[in-house]
Amino acid sequence: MDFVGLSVRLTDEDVAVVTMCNGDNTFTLDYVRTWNQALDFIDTHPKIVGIITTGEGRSFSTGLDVDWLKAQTAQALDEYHEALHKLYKRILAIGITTVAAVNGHAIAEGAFIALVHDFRLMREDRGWVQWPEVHMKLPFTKTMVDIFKLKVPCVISQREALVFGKRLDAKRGVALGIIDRAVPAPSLMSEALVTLQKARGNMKLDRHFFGVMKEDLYTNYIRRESSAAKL
Amino acid sequence: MAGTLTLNFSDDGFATIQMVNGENRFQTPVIDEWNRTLDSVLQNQSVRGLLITGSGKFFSNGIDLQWLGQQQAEATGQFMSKLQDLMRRILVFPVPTAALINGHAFGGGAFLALACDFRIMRPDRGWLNWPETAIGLRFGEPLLQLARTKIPAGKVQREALLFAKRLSGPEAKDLDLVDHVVEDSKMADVAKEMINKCLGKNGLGRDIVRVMKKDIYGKELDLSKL
Repeated sequence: MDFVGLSVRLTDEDVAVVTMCNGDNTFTLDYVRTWNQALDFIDTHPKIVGIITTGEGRSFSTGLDVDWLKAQTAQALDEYHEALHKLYKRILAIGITTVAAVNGHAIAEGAFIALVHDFRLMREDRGWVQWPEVHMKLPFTKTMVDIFKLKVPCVISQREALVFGKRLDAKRGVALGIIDRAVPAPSLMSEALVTLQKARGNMKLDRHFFGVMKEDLYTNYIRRESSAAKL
Repeated sequence: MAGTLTLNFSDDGFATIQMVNGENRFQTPVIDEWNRTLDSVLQNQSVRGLLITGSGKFFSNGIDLQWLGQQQAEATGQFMSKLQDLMRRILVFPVPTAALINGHAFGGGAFLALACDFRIMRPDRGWLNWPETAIGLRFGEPLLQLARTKIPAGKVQREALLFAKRLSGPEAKDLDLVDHVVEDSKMADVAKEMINKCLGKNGLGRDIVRVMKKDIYGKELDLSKL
């Protein structure tokens, strides 16, 4: 199923492969909407037992489209952040096992998208994960911080990644507990599949119930903050 | 309910509670027995550490779901409330506690082990497991709060809680959910050594130990009424 800049393919094993295929896959309000369309599609397919998200080309996603950002009013940006937070929480609590197969740069929104998946695999030889917000003078919202801390409780990792916005290659990403595994590029997708299968084991995960379990662990624990930082 | 627990005091200042009832599952009368036994432990002023263990293949398989299914709604609520209270009581017990996980610790049994200060497992037998996701059972907020006091966010919560992984001793140790992995016959000695290291030459006052546990573990759950 093709959306604007994003495709969803179903494999024989009932895994949905979500491929971001829009250049550097930068985020705008429209791209958030596209993502929701893809998730709506997945929602209507009860057989899907796993989601693997990846990017095409050199980037997973390089984050916010800066040109688009500059043209937005403060109100439009608030709307964008509201929608973005909802998307993060939607992926975070989806009742399906999810793996981010990080094929290249995962920056800011791209890094958060990877983070809200259950697992993160990254190609070992190229690309970095980064939250550059400190360098752009863009504070995080409480929601963003809570999401990060829920997935990466190590305080040193929080310092390196969030406070100081370091560029993290796959090896560093693994060392900081942000990336689960760094793998050779040709095996990225097959390893993502193995990760999915190992996680699910023999469990029959009812979609509604598994979503509730994720809500209990994750989204119910996140503070709400709807307004974006002042730019 | 006689015959579910035994209590022994040793000359070196330790009390050992052993669960001796098959799968050591929890019902309301079992919890009542637990509370009486813990009272007896505290009444003995020479006790400076508490060891908790099971027998045979089982530490504890958790809640007796079959029994629970036969109870009326009010009794069910009362049971869950008592179980949560027992877990909290052990969580802030005024002497150091160690769970000697001799065999399977599932669900409520895993929570019992978690509520202790220290956990020891065998290398060759027994799983530590929260099966809730696999059996379609939510944790409920009180037990989830207890889980959060000892199970860190991120990978460990994902593996242990969300994906209900069956953890062998070495796997649990890898996730820092247990402190030591040793063979059955050495568990008690290792536990006593760990607790004695805490106590040192001068020991630790019961009141301050309880207050410390309340303060440190009380971020995630409300222990103010204890």
